[in-house]
Amino acid sequence: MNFIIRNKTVWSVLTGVLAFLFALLMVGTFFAVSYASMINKELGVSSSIVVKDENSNEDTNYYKSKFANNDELTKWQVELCEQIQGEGSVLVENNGALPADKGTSVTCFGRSSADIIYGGTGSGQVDTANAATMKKALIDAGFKVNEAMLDWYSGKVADLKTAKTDRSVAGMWTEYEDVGAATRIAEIPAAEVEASGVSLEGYKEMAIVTIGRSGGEGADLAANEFTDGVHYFELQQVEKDLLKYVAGLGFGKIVVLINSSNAMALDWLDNPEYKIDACLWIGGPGQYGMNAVAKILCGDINPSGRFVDTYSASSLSSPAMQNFGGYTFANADKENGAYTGTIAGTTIDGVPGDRTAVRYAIHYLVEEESIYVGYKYYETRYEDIVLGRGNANGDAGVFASSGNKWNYSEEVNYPFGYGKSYTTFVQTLKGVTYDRETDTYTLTVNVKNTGAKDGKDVVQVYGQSEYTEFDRQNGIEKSAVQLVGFGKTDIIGAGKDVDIEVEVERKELATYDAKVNKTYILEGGDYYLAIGANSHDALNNILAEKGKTTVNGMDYDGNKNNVYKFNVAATDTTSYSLSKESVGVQITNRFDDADLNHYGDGLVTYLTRSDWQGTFPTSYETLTATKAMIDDLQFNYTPEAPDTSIKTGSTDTKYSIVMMRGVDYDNELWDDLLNQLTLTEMAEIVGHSGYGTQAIESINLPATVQADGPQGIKGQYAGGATVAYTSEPVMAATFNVEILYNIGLSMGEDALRISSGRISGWYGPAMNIHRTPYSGRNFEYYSEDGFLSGVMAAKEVSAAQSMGLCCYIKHFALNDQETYRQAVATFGKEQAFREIYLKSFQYAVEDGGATAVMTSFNRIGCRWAGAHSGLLNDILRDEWGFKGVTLTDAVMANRNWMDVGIGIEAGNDTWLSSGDWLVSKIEGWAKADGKFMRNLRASCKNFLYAYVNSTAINGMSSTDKVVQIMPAWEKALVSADVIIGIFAVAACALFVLSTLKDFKFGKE
Amino acid sequence: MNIGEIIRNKAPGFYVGAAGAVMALVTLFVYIGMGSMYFSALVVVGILAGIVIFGASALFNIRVGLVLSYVCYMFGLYHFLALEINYRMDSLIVYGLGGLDAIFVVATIFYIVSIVATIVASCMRQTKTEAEA
Repeated sequence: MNFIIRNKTVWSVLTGVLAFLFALLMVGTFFAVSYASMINKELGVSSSIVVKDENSNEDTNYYKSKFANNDELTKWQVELCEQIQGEGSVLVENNGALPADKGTSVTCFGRSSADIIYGGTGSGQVDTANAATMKKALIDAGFKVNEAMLDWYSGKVADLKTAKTDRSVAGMWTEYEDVGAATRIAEIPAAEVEASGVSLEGYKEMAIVTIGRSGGEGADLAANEFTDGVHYFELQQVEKDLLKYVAGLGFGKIVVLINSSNAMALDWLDNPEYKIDACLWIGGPGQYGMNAVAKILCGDINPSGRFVDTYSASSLSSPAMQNFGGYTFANADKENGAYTGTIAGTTIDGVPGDRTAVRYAIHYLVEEESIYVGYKYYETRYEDIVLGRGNANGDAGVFASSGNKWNYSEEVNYPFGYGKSYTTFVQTLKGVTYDRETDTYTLTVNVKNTGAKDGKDVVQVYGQSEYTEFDRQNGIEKSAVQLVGFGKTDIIGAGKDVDIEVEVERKELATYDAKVNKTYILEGGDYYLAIGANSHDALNNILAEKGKTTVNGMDYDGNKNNVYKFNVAATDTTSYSLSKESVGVQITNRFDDADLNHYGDGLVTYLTRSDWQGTFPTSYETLTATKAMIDDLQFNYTPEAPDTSIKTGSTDTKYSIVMMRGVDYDNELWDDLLNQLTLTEMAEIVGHSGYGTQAIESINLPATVQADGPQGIKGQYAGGATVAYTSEPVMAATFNVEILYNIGLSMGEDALRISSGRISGWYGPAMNIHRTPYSGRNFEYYSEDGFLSGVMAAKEVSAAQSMGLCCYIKHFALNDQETYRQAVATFGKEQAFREIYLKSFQYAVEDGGATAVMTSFNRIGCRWAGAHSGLLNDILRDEWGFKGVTLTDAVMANRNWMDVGIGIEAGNDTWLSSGDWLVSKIEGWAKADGKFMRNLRASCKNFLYAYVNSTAINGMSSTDKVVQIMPAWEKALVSADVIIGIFAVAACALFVLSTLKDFKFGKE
Repeated sequence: MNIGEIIRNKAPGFYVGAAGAVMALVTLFVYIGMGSMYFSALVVVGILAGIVIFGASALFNIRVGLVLSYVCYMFGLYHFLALEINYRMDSLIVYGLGGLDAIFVVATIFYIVSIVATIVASCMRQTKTEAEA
């Protein structure tokens, strides 16, 4: 025994090893406990259990699946996924090549044929390991497929992946200057295809060439010259060579698939060198969409999708593209060539002192284009050319026009709303009625299928409000056309017709006047409601009503019979100036300081249709931050004395949150319930709401899970049993609100599948705007048009919420590019904000009933969106009547510009933080600052109100109890800590003892 | 106190421990040089305490003191990693270990080396035997 004890070496080694192990375990435990909610989600366990009251006979199944079992649900979802793609794919060109007969032999070309881009990267990505491939989809559809060629391509793609030279887009933390270098299309050269040795014999009836472009979160696509002087969204030389090679092989027909959620230049489709017979846009098809693509190709489905963006001949030609990307304040300080994160020597609040400092204070973006985003630019300028005004046919903004005059036909390949069919339709406006009570026009449109195949058609209604002298003088812009209503027919048999009614709310024709009336107005003058095959067709119809023809420069004569014209006698400045949701709330300017001219007259000249030539945007590259801007970039927060009147942890009442289900937001019972919360619980609610919320024992609220993303609840958060849908542009391209409603239901069904995970929050749908083709996350957003986005979002949200899912609509607001999205100061006009960028959110809240919103990283003007009171309190809550919870975008420990104090003051309720480092800080702030404490309580109320009316309490009665538990993994970890710790101490004690024994025996 | 004689009597274990202390000091300088937003005095205290305790252990020939020395280093390491990794969590989630900045990696490596050296030193004889002397 003495020998054992005196063996210093053994005990010293053991002490050292165990102590080191213990130290590492403690670090690991620190992070594991901090991020416990994420670990619990990954493992599918919860940190709380519900102790049922067996005597309760309440019906607690507040939300239930509409399906008998998972198999039935999955079957429905697969069909839905195919339906979305089937109705969302856009037939761009077809010279009769499609549909192809079943049994047609097919060879596929292009690396994307073997490696379909199903969606995008980042939080919106989904697991498509089991996704339908081109090969399987075509075979299942009855085609005779050259499998050897697809296998060859698969092998080449695998080689590229191994060599790390595969297709890629810039990742989330790629520096702006490095985006181009990080982007690869990685098409396989035609020479390699030719040398592959793969035989085409027996497979030459049809060639399918897939052209793909990707996108993802965190970085935009490379907007600078890409390869060979060609831009990313143009056909690359290697792709041109491939098309020429295929054209020379003698195929019976050549079909091109466009596998891109971002608008590409398509001016090459009619290039005779490529001999393209048909083109189908498929966007991002999601998990099962390729099955529908194959069915379209063989005619089982007649495509009926319509473009949700303008496809311009040059992807750089929009006014918005002139101010896109990374801009840094001219007076941002540098040291040794690197930005310090300060501006003119001033440190901006919330800027961390690290290498990422440059992202958090010193960037800006000026949206000079005003309302002229997407088709609103191209169509309006076209109209002005026809009307001969505004020097519209000057050379400013010429990108694809030959000569030095802007020419619509050369600048635009395919307009917004464009799409063909395997049949033909004729739409006739039969009549328009106006209901004064609902302030709504109803257009009755006869849709006649004049072709030989059954199919669906889309009725699109566009409105025009006259551009007046008042507008010119007061900086109000008017688009020549704007989508104000739409509807989709059911399948119309060949030769048959159907009447369809489309409602148009008159408020959609109102204009936001930020200068004089500071609200929405309906100006006196002529108004037009027109139907058309697309935005351009509708405009041509309006121009025909105005007496214009090709003589005036129109590209073709319109049909004035499809136009309804009416007159508003006098300008109405009151009907649309009040909130329809909140009685007596005046709609007025909230973004005066987001207009750059607020900081100095004439700092920016916004694009105006009264002078296209003189105001077409140029890149606003050298903005110097004024002192006023620097001051406004600061938090400007004033704390108040501690408020001890606020009760916490009260036991006067013992209400369960379940009792508050359905209780009005203003009911006094909420005060009693809130009093029960401890300060720690309040801090947990507000500061620890990333991908889930914590159990709150005092009110019996169980822990919940929040899941990403817009294409479907991410599989790993729900046990891998969920479905990945198409990208959002494909959803919107269906123009079918019923489909969007079903998508919302499906999201709710997926969330209900995993009852133990209690998925109560969904980070979707996303509804920012396709301001340019180059935004990395366009695959997650619906369209360039705010109205279309809003109508679709409202349906999806209302359905998902009916299933008990809190939809965190995102990103609110103006997060329309990824570059420097974190804290970039975004300047623009209030009219554009309201009429385009906020419209989708407005619909989702007012019509869809959204009870959750995710605020965005960026600043609006100089103010972080999550701390913008005008946005969150005045517009979201007061004007739109929102009652629910707001959540920041992802918070990490160094994202300090997303300050809690300024956020909760402005109406941002919770922080998307997966770790708990904010909790103790919030407690400290609340104790020291009375204003903070009151705002904290208000935020908790908003959160609880949203969550009590969700699946968070599904299956719970008002007498059930919630008990926090330590999951097994956490117990194991803590046990390991204790055991290793005890052993380390024991070893140390024995080491000490052995040393003392040596002294006793006269040794060292 | 004859320092020279004390040094002459030291066995390799002392030198290993001394290397650990020197590495700890270098780590301290690197940490200060990081200019971290989450700079913590506890990290500095842990390193300095560890160095001082090592010095005292070496001076008074208390081998077991090296245990206290590396425990102090570990105390500082815990706070260092807890704060600095949290601060880099976004890069870690997206890029994994590849997302970490070089200076942080260097500081971490130096820190661990100093701890390991001190642990090893604690397992070795600190002074020469009479025969060796």
